[in-house]
Order: sequence, then C-alpha cells, then structure tokens
Amino acid sequence: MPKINKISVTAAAHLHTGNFDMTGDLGRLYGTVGFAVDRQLEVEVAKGVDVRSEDEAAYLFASRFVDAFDLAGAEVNVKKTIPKFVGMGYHTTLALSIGTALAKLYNLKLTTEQIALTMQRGAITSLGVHAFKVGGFIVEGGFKVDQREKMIPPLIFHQEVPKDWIFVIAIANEPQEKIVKMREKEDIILRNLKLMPKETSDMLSRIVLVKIIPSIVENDLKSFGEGLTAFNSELGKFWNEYQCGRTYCHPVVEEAIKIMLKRSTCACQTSWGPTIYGIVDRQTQAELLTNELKKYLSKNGGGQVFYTKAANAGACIKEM
Amino acid sequence: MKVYIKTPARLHLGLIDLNGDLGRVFGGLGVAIDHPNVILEAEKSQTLTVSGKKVELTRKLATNFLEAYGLKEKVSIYVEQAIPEHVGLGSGTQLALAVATATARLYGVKASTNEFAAVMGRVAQSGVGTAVFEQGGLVVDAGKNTKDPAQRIIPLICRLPFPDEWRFVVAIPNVAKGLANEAEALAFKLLPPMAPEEVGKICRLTMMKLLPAVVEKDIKSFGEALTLIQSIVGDSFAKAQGGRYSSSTASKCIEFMMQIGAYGAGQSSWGPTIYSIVKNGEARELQVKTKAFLDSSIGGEVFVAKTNNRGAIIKVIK
Repeated sequence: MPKINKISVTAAAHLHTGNFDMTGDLGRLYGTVGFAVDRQLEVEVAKGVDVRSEDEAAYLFASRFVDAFDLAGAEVNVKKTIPKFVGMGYHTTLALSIGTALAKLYNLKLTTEQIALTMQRGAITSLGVHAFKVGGFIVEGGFKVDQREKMIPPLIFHQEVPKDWIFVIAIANEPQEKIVKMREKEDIILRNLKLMPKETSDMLSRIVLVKIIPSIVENDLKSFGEGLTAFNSELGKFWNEYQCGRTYCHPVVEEAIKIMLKRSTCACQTSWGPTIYGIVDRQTQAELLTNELKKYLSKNGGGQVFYTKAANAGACIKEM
Repeated sequence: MKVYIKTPARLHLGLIDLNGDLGRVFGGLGVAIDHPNVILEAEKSQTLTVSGKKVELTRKLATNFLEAYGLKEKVSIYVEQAIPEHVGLGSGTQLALAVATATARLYGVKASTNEFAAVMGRVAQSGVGTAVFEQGGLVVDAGKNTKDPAQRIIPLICRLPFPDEWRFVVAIPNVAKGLANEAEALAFKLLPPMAPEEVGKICRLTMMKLLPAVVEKDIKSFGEALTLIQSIVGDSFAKAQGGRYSSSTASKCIEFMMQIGAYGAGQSSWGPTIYSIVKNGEARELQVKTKAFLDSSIGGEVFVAKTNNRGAIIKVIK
C-alpha cells in the first residue's frame, strides 16, 4: 500500500434557516433547517511531529484532535477559506475537514459524528455535520435534552436542491463587529435561552413539514421561499432580544431583506447574521439582485454580495 | 414468461394536516409490514383470465390497466394470496399496483409506480400505499396540493428504514369493516377542518420525536409519539367514527395493549385494524394476551408482524 503523505479536504459552506423546536418539552431541542452552498473551504493536512498551522482556528482544531487521540502531530494548510464569523459555518466546516483528514492519515475509523463530537462542533445544531456528509437541503431532528453536547442530531430529511436554484448571498460589513463580540458569548446565551412557547414550536414545525419540505420536493420555488421567509422571520422575532428588538440583526440587514423580497419570495438571515440570502431561479434575476444589493451596501458600510448554487454533495477527500 | 409479485401490507400511523390552510392537505405516515400479502402470478394470454382470490376486483383492475395503456393483448392472473379488504391494511392499493406492475412487465410498459397508482385511481388521498409498495419502511407523504385539484402524484417526503427488531402486534376485532371508497370520501368531506394548533402538534411530534426515534431506534420515544399523534388524529375523526377510534372495542383493546407493556398503539386508517409496537422478544406474549382479551368479548384475529424494508418483491420468471 503506498504511503499517504497528505490529504486534501474540500467542503462547502452552509446557510442556516432556523430551528423549529426551542421548547424542548417533547424531549429534544433545536431541530435545524439549512443548506450547503457552493463556497468551498479547502485544507491540506499532513502528519507532523507537533501541531502546526498559520491559521489560528485550524491550529486549535488540529490540537484538539491530536490531543484527543494522542497523535504525534499535524500540519494544516488552509488553502481556500469561506467568510468567517458571518453565519456560513466556517468553524464547523474547518473542524470537520481537519478531523476527517487526520482520521484518515492516522487510520482511525471514525464517523463524521464522532469527529464532530471530538471537535466539540455540531452538537447543538448539526446542519454543518450533514452539509459535510451529504450536502443539499437538510433538516435534522435536534438533540435529546438529556444528551446535550453528547450526541449529534440525526438527519431526518435530505433533498438535492433543484439545479436551477441560485442563492444570492449578501454579507453587510456594518454589523460584523457587534456579531463577533456576541458570538464570543454564544455558549452562555444558548445555555440561558428563554423557552419558546409550545404553540410557536408547533407552528414552526408545521411550516417545515407541510410547506417547506413538500415545496422543494415539487420544485415549487415560490412556495418554498414563502415558507422559508415565514419560518425565518418568525424565528427572528424569537431571537430579537439579542438583535436590539429587531427581527434581523441590524437596520442595514433589515433593509437588505426588503430589497431581496422584491425579486425573491425567499429572504432569510443565517444564524446570528449578518449574512442574508435569497433564492431565485434565473441568472438574470440573480445578477439584478446582486447589483441592487451591492449598490445598497456600498452606500451603507460596504459588504460582499455574490450568487452561487447549492452544493449537492458532501465533502471531497483526496489523498495526495 | 411469468411475473411473480409479493407485496407488503400497510399500517397507517396518522394523518398530518387536516386543515390545509398552508396549501397542503392530508399528508400521511405509514409503515410497511411483512404480512398479510398480495401474492400473484401473471402471464401473457389471449383472453383475460383471473383465478384465485379477489377474482372480480382483479379482473376490473386488469381491464382498467389494459385499457389505460391501449394494450390489445390480455393477461392471465392467479391471485394466490390477498390482504383482507376494508380493514385498514391498504389492500386496494397493493392489489392495484401488483396487477399494474405485473402486466406492465409482461408487455414492456415503462412508467413509475407513482404513474401506475395514478392510472389505477389509487391517489385519492394518500401516497403512502405507493411508497410502501415501492420501498417499504416508514414513509411520509407530502399530502395533496390544494392549489392543484387534478394532482396525479402525491410525492413522498421521507422514507426511513424501520428498525428490524421492532414488532407490531396487529389486532382485527370482529366488528364492522372500516370506511372505504365513496363512504370514505364523504366522511372526509363532512369532517370539520382540524384546528391549525392541533396540526402543529402533529407536525412537531413527527419531526422532533417520531422520525428521530426511528433513526435512533428508540422504541420508547417512537411509541410515545405514535400514541400522541394517534390520539390527536383520532379525536379529529370522532365526528365521523363516533369516538377516538372506530369502535369501543378498538378503544378498549388499545388501552389494554398499552397497559400490558406496549410502547405505543393506534388504529390503522378507518380501522377496525389496531396495532401496538413492542420489541421482538415481547411480541408473542402481547399477542396471546390481546387475543384472550378480544376473545372475552367479540373475538378477532391477532398476529405479529415485522417491518418490510424493501417493498414489493417482483420476479420475472423466464
């Protein structure tokens, strides 16, 4: 068997739509809806005598994995990155990519779920874990309240995103500093989160099961977008105490959502933001919307706007 | 050339949305069980001949299929076994799909099982029976699109392998048969719409309890979710069937099975078939006790079934 020197892992970013059960009275919490989108992170990982990486987060995750399995070391080179701290899953995707590569290099038989638990990522919402494994449109069924952070929520629904759907993604600069600060307190916020009234979790679950899922199965973008927007904005209201009473994280984002809704039935904020996304099914629409959002953001603190397709497959792992 | 088909039977676990204000109505949860079965053999023939069980219905189904695809040739079908009719085990869809699939194989008609279900008129309310025939396991269908009254195919939205080590104890009390065909359509029309709040409960129970429990093979959570979904659906059908379940015997028997250790229980479709879920080693005892319970009143049949995780078996014999 030829010796493997290096492993390259390419994995997609993801967009979060929301969690449908923040009540927990049925024994599970969160339950997440989201997508893998075609913005790829790429790492090259080799064995080493100690842990080395120029990327701070990569160094941290590689160390965590090396320590957990008492390995010699790792050398991690982040070749391509995805936007950080903006709700596109940079950290989870990076952690899983590094863990998967190291498991292969050191011949450890681990599932992606076991790697995620080792890295302490993906146990509250496992969208990133399933995006890494299978890509596409994802619905997972939450974690058991008595096994918090000890299990990875299971995938309960998975579907390829129709090939002609285009995600228009806008990342405003203005709110980023505030969000980065808030993310540092994320664990405390999530641990002390108020409970959602049962009726709201019921209603959100119904939007997912009766509107969002059937619409993607039938390739009905209009209905799918309506469902996502209703679902995401209802959740915005639930989280509003962390967003200064707003449904979305910042007034600039609120305005960008309105611009999105003029050309798409879908406009959602991913996670804490500031990233928002819409979905259209024509290139010309995607271009128009991208230009309109670019114009708006350039006058309002700047930001990036781009469009891309879904990533309908899981991570790509190559031996080098 | 001969075509042999053996289908599973279907237990209905509940309906999802009996309100419809989000644009979809019904939506069903079902599971394929390994018996009773439709077993038939078909071969090409100069005349339409049917023998064995359910001769008249099978003849009608075959005629329907041959006409729908403009086939001048005929078929000879022997129905070795059939699923009891109108008891809630999905016999009509399984027989129709078995006849359609067998005839299609003989004459090289290429179409999806969904297409056959539409041609055979089996898509009135549910896509569950079609999914059970095609794939087995636990299935959830998307319900009817209210904007598209002519909808021919009700898509499947979820299919999970059902744990092989779980068993259903299935009881068919000796009471009147459940509603079917016109009576069923009328009952659906007369039912008041379910409150959106109740639909929401069913949806959350499905996504946050029932489906994860199947993936994680957690029979206790599965049973709890099933029983709760059944009670909400049953109560909304009370106006049409006179109570949460189709008869007082059904209600008492469900209660009895829960008392003696079942993890969950319910009624399949309009009944009279009821069932409970237990682990492999517990099934026989529950079956014996349930049979004795029924025999102390009106009697009935009780059997143990496991899941079918592959759908119908189709063999072409040269």
